[in-house]
Amino acid sequence: MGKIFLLVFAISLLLFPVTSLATDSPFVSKEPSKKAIKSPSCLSKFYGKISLWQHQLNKKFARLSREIKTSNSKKPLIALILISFLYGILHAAGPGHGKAVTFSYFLSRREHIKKGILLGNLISFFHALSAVVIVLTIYFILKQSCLASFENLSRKIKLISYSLITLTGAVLLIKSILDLRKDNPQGEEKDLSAHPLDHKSILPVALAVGMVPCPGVVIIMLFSLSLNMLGIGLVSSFFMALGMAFTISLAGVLSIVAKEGILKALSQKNKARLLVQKGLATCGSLLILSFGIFLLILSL
Amino acid sequence: MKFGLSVLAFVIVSFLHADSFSHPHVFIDNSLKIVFNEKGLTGINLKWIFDEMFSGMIIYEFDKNKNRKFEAPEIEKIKKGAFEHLKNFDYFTYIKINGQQFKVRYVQGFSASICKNKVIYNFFVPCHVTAISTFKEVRISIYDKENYCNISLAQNNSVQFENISSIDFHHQIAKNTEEPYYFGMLFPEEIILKFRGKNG
Repeated sequence: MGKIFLLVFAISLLLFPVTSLATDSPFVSKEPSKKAIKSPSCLSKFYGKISLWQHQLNKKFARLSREIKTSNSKKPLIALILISFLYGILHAAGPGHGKAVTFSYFLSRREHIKKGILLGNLISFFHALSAVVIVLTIYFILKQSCLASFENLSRKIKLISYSLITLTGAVLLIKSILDLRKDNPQGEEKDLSAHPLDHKSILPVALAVGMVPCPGVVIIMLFSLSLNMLGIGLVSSFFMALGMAFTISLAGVLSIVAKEGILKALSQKNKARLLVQKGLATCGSLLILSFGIFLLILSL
Repeated sequence: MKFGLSVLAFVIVSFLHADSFSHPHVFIDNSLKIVFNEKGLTGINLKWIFDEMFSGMIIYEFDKNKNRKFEAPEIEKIKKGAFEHLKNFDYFTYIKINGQQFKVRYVQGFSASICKNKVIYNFFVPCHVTAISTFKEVRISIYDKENYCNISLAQNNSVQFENISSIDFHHQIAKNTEEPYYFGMLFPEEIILKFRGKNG
């Protein structure tokens, strides 16, 4: 079992340096962000496709928005909702958006799949809501330049978010280290199917990760405002958030499924199961802590 | 057990790695006009056509009189608010002269306009290379290393030339697989220009 622990830990550490924060706009950024460079990956072509699809959806979004403005038909609105949802799915597959933290969080804790879905949804909606609130505040209340103000505000929010992620990682790590000393770690015997869905424990995590405004939603909002279609911007942002929720939730669900799969396979070997569970919990919390510190250092 | 480990490995590779991945927010169609004079290369005129959504943001932010045109004061504001910062990113323009890096420190003649709901930036990148009797090689690539912007060569007439009467030249466009960017996932498109003076 030590091998499994080492494997997961090594893979995690190996892949960790390539994780980046959501990029600042170069049109208003003071300097390029400092990032680690990683060698080519077999996923390259797949993500090249994602980029291409995003471009196509971007074009369709613009065309449909103009159609809605000029026609009374509901067809372009339905198509726009679908495009926004798909755009959200693809957009959240890009940097940031909390997938890595979601994944690591569920490595560090034993939770029901429903909680994975809930955390993904909460992060996504906070992520979109933060962008919508900031855009509307800058435009309608502060009445300032949105490009520059958004960038400044976004940088400050990121600092808060990354500090909170670091704190979350530290708390989880302390818990997992304390559990290492126990024979029966927290949650070991709990019946996950019977466990009620507890929103309170994941709400702070969702808020810490999701408070960073989504740049994709900002672009949708500003484009819609440029067409004087605030309502369309809000509807599109909502469905884009739903799409992002799908992708982020997937990270959580797959993490839970994988972990439970391993633990189930070891159900006859109590010692091994305990060791794996403790190992994964420590790995997950270490990853969250490392993400937080890494992102914090890059954004300072 | 195997299933769990496979899913775990897949998730780690996909999601953590994906976190570093291609994520353009802005899409730019780029075209170049390579400008010569009787002495050799003088620089490159760049024309960037932005996607409609980013264009909408720029128009909303800077076309204050809402006449769907950028007048001189508005262009000046665009330059300060949504262009000059690109200096920190070398204006996304990377040039090598006979294998030596040429850093783009400044550009000239910035202008912005609107055409068919799209914002267009035009500017000139000075780069003086004297033409001699033997061929010199200049490699030009325009890309955003951080992939916030996806910059691709326009489909039609992406590379043009000006004042070529005294220059003997040829060019090709190829992917530079030697210098991948953005975590090694993407390869810049490169214009490989070779030229010499017709009169030595």
